[in-house]
Amino acid sequence: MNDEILNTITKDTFTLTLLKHRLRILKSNLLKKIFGSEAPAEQLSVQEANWLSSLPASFYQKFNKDNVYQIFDAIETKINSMPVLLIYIAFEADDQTIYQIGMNLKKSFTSITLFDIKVNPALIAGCALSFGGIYRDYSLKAKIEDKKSEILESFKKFLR
Amino acid sequence: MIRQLPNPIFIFLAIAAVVVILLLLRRYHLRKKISRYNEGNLEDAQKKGYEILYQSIKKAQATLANAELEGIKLLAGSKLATNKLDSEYSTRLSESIKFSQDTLSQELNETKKAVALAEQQFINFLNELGTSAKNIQSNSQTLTNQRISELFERFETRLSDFLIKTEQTSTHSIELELRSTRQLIETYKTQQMALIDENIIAMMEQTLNLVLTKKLSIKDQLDLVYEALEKAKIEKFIV
Repeated sequence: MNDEILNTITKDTFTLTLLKHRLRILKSNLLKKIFGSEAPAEQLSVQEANWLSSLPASFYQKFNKDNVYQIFDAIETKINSMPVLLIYIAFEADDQTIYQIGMNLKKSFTSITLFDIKVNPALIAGCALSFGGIYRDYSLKAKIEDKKSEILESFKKFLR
Repeated sequence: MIRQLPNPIFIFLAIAAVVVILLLLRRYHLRKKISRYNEGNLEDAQKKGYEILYQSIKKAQATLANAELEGIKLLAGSKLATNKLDSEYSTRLSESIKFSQDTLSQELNETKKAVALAEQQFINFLNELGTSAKNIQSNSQTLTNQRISELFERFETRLSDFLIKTEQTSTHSIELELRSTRQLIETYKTQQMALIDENIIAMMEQTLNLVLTKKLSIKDQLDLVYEALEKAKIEKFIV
């Protein structure tokens, strides 16, 4: 059941940061609904509110006062053990862009559920990947480094 | 010059006068002696004395006459002898002078000859000495020149060796310096070229970064990201 819940959440949640954020607001929302807390509800953005409302009713029915904490504990534990692909890009990516990347990953790779984005302008273009403790650079900077001698040779020919 | 001898007569007369004086003195003493010792026989003695004196005078006169005679004879003989002696002396003197002159002339000639010979010998000696001196000077000059030539030759050889050694040392040092300098230059050049290469690449990256950040759209950026992901998939980095 926990996997189903997690799959539902990660259906359109691709980054670890966003996943943790959405889990937090979902938990808060569910606890308020289940236990009717008197505490004022957290002010949600439109996007957050839309995401919560996009979840099906059957999804909410899986939670009750006896398992809500256990489910969230189990999901958090699961998340911590999930492999996360770290993507270094050269530009600031908005949510839409991150979504597009996530969709592409989901379509192309079966082993990747979560990823995270870090910005490194030195990469110029393309991206570098870090997965399972291994870092590989597929950026334009790396290509330039690989072709450094040829580039310099061409440059020197031009100088002559 | 011949010294004039005293006349023999005067000599004789002088001797006689001395004898008379001596006799008179003797008689005077005898009279005194007689008068002292024998006043009685004074008259006898006076008589004897007179007689003796008389005899003496007589003898003295005779003696004087003989002496005069002898003196005259002697004077005549002396004059003759003197003349003879003078003549002989003159002859001998002339002969002697002539002999001396001859001898002197001969000696002079011999001496002149000897002097001329000695002079000639001296000239010859001087000539020989001059020749020897010239030969010695020539030999000395030759020897000196030879020594100087040898000295210069040795000096040139040593100087040449020294110069060659110095040149070799200098060349070696210069070569080492050059090698070191070339190595330094090469190292510097390599370092500088590496630095320049790094700078070129850095400039290129910086330029591309500046240009592409502005020129590449999000779509282009995403395409490059997808391309990188595809490459990672091909490489089986992620599946």
